[in-house]
Amino acid sequence: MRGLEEKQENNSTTIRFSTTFNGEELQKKEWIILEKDSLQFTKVRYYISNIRFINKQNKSIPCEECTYLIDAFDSESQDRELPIAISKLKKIQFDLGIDENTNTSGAHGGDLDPANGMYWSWQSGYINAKIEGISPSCATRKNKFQFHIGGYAAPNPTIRTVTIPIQSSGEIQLDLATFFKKTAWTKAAQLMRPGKEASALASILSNSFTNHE
Amino acid sequence: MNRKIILYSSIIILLGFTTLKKEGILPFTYPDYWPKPYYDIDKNPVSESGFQLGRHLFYDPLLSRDNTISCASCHLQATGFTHVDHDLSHGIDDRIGKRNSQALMNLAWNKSFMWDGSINHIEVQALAPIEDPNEMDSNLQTIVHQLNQKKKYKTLFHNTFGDSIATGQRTLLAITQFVVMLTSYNSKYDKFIRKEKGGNLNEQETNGYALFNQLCASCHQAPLFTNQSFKNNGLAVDPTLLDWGKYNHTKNPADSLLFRVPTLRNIQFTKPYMHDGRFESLYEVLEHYSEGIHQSPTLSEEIRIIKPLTNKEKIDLVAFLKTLSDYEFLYDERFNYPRN
Repeated sequence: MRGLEEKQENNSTTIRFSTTFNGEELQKKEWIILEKDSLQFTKVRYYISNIRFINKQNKSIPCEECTYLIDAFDSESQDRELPIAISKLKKIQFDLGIDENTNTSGAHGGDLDPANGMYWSWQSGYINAKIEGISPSCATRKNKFQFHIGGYAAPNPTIRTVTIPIQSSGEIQLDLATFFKKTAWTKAAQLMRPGKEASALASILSNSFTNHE
Repeated sequence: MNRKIILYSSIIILLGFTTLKKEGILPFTYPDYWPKPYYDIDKNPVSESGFQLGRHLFYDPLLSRDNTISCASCHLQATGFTHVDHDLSHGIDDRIGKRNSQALMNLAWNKSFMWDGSINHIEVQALAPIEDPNEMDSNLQTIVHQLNQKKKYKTLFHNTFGDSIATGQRTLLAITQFVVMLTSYNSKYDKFIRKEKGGNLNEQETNGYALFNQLCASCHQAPLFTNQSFKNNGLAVDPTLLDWGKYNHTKNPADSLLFRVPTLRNIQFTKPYMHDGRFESLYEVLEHYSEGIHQSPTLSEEIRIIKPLTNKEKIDLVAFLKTLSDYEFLYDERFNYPRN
């Protein structure tokens, strides 16, 4: 059980953005056995942006320039220092994905740098979440499943707002078991463009955060 | 120093040009009767070193998987920065793509890019050819890694950004600083409009100009000679390509067969014409508008009013279109292959 990490000065907190499957931390290329399927993950990355802190008085405080590319297999990307003391926090609200303004304002840097591989070259826009892996249940080349969830424009924007009450563990957990339970992932194992399907997956993914409201 | 700036700016303004000028930044100049650019150049101001870095990148085949294809491979300056005489461009391994290379000029006024508008910002346009498997078949991460190994680029990045680290963002911003400077507004037609020496239209050109205003100017609107819209100009779909244009990325049936209205500046040199290069000459283009329009549900309103042209009218129109050639732009040494 991870404890909170509070700085001496008491005005920042390290939050861990973890990715799990049925509560177990995701390990790259490790087989997960389900009732009728087995699967392993090779790539899981997603954007968290526009973080807002909801304090005990229910006031919303924006976190300046808090846009993070979380990589489930890179622990450095998962631990983020947020500029607020945990004692003041009631909930965290954020967007899963990148907003329209950022999608239409050219080349950005840092976690938003297109060289990170989370930006479509053939049609401008960020890939909000990439989930890739293998399962014998997928009748695709090399049994791959690949979900690239993106698209910012109407009628199928894929950005979603998520609100999570602060846990004593200081962890924001995305549990992929929830996602895989709710999609027909063995039948439609590849999605790599904006549209209705991407929008549906975005909703399922945003509801896969543990304890979300 | 202040007096010099006031005097210099006054002279520029008196000459009728708008110059955006800040210290250390290259001036971005265009005629004062032009609309303002769509791109906010202040967000990525062009410095001399940024311009040179972008220019080196533009001409460097390092941007392709096997170091053979550069931007200039399909965008040749002397022919308006397009791939002249190729209906569809060929890229790496002689692979052939699905579209005709567009002429690059006055890009700061573009609201979107590519024939179908799928790129929404000048700074990210270069990603499309870089990562297209038929064009350069590379990726930004690999390019950034390679740039960080090369002494020439370490220096150029240092001069531009303050340290020698290449990032994806910086690479794209530098390319933008070069291509945004490709401005063309000194053709014979422009001199005619500004009543400058060299701007006398002869009888054919004058007749052509009148016809142009009557039949073409609604979409090919001066001074950019495009109104930046997407139109179905009566081209039947090529069954070997099945390219539905803007529909490809919007999936909106109303966008089927809609393609960008390209600029007609320097059109004399940018053959062949249309999104798939199906017309070899301007006469073929005029024949299409005159007699060859293909009816379809999304055919644009403006096309419906074009009437059959006589041979004399076609000759006059072509004569006028040739007045849009800007030799100062086509042979501007600032834009050619860097030799240092």
